[in-house]
Amino acid sequence: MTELAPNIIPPRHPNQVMKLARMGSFHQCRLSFMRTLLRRLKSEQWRFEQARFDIDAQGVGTALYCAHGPDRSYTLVAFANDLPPEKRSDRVIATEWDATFTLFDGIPTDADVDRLRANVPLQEAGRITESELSLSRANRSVRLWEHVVDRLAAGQQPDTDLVQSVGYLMRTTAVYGSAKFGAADREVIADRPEFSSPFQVEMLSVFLTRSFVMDLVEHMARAKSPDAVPLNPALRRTFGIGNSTGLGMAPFLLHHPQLLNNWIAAKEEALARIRSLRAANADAVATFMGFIPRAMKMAAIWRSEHPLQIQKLAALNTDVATLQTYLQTFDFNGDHPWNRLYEWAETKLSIEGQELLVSLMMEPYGDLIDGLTGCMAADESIGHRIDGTVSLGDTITQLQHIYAFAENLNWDSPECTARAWYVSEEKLEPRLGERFEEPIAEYEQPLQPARDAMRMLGDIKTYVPETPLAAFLLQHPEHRHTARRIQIAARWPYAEIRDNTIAHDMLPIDMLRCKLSFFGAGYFDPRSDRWVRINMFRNAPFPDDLANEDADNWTYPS
Amino acid sequence: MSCALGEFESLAKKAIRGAGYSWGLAEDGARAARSVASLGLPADELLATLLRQTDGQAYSVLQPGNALCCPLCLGPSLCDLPPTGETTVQNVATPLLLAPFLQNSLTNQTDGFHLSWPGASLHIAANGITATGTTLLCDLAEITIAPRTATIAVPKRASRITMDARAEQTLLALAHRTYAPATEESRLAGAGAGLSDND
Repeated sequence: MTELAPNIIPPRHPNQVMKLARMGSFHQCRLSFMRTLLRRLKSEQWRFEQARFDIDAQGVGTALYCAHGPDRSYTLVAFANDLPPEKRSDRVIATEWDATFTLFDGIPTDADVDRLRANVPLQEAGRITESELSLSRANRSVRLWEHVVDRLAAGQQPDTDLVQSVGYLMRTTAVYGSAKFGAADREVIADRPEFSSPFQVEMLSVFLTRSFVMDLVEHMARAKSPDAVPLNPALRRTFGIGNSTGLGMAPFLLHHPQLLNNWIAAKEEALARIRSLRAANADAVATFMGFIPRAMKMAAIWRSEHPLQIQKLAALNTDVATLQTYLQTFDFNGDHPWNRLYEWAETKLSIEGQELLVSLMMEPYGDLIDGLTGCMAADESIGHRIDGTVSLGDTITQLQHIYAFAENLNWDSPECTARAWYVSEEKLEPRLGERFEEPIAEYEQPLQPARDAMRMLGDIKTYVPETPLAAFLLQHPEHRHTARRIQIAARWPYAEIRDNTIAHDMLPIDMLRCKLSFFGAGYFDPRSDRWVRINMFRNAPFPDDLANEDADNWTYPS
Repeated sequence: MSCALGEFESLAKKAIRGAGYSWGLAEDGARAARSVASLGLPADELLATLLRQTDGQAYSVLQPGNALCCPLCLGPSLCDLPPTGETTVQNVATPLLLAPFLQNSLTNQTDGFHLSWPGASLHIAANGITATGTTLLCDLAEITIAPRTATIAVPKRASRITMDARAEQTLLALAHRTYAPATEESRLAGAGAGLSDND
């Protein structure tokens, strides 16, 4: 056990961390939700079974994958489809998919499966019930699916380079959880230990989906030829599940400030604990050094076609090489080695490289930091109430502390308010438009905290400072949303993104990457400034491997 | 239709906003509606009844002292600055929706309120609300709020609400006003189509 002493290095300041450029450079780490899930599945010795695989030669049918925990079982119910290529789209406007899924709470009866078959393939147009915990769908990778089926059917293994360049056979295009389309509320399951950390339902669903997809591709090869071979186990492991994430996910971070705080605060506390260690023992150093070549390999195989990400990846590859060189002569025996290393990185590496180092430094210290995952959920009811007794003078102080950056921006300039977040009538999904070019301003969602805080500040200044906030809000209900945010961010320091979310050059993919890094995703590949492809569980053990393998040593290629 | 409470709250928020309230009031109102639904009471119908009356009305005419005092305007101010003595307010529409605001104002586990109007009595504590009477769902009443020190035995909470078809229609129609009409530009640019997604 590493000794836990008071941190002498404080966590990084929110003004440094909560910038979109940095949030858009986060990497997965020990605290990510996929890793939390696999550690639990292993330590609690969960059992897995393919309870049904009733799929025909065209790839149409039903499969059930059960996960049995110490107290409860869950079942991924999968419906496979023979989708004509012209109907395949990852956009939220699609109406059919190659496969659709729900995570069922328990073991479904045949009647349950029949009910789900009538609804789950319809996704948003269907209804599910409190027995279901998630709703998701996936499409095949056109680049890889046929290739793998054909090769296996011919008795050969697929091309390794092609597998590596794509990384998945199917990608999910939405994984809906709590309360969506009739599914159970998070509140209903929040007291179950297996779901105490955020997004464990969704991660379990994707983990089981990966097994299904691998079984399906081998099944399709067998249907094509009696001479088909299964995938080589080592190659099989390198397949993850892809995911296309669009704008719909970006506002999540703004809608859940307390939750955002708890994620970031856990990670920053982890970093502060490690930087505060007076010494690094030999085991920790050896573990860390073992990850450096793996991180280099990860950076080297990471592909993107997006100019911004290509630039960031070039910097990242340089960064890991610089880091490796520096480590050859770095003195781990001196005082506070991790802090010295981190401070060096701040001056020598790009933000992408700095954040990778933050994640790598956590790898040796599971016993010191893994417990922080217990602090990453949030009871959002606590922060909802506005304390109306606070004076406007104190409110101004809080506001100016949180939104200091916004006071230096020219809010009269079109660049500063170029964008507006709205929800489209067509798909009821969040979108981002050009305020001065489209008729969307009157539909604006409350997703521009900095601008709204500046507006509130302007109105507050017309009152005497001793006025209680309650009296101001009675006159100005339009500032009620902002008043709540101010009090939340004053109490939870990482609750607010300290950047302008409607600037002309704001990149929604930065918000997406922040969230997805906490999921545990890697290999971010922006496809525009508003949607991103990722890979989940790439190189992870399959359910049956967990019993005999390290559950937590897969996120970097070996 | 059976809805998860989170789903109902999300619809309620949009409906309140669609009826002309600020986003902050809509957030508070939707939480209150959810809380009433968790008592197993028809919050959907109450909210729909209320919003049909207040739709498009100015915030200033929905305050106490007017022909109709809106609980979604009165409630937040009671929550921000809880009453310390007995308080009476006339013409409160769908007064049951006030109860969650009073509950949310409690910062001390042993504090509480008694909320009443002719034919209805509610005990409100930090750990729950008990509601009795024959006029709980009334449209308009003179209400009395009295601070009390109490905890209560918490009744089992509902996790779903079965939406009344007419109420749901009202809420959906109001919520719809918060959506921007789609244009071809927004379809492409707004969601950021970018590179092909079928590869």
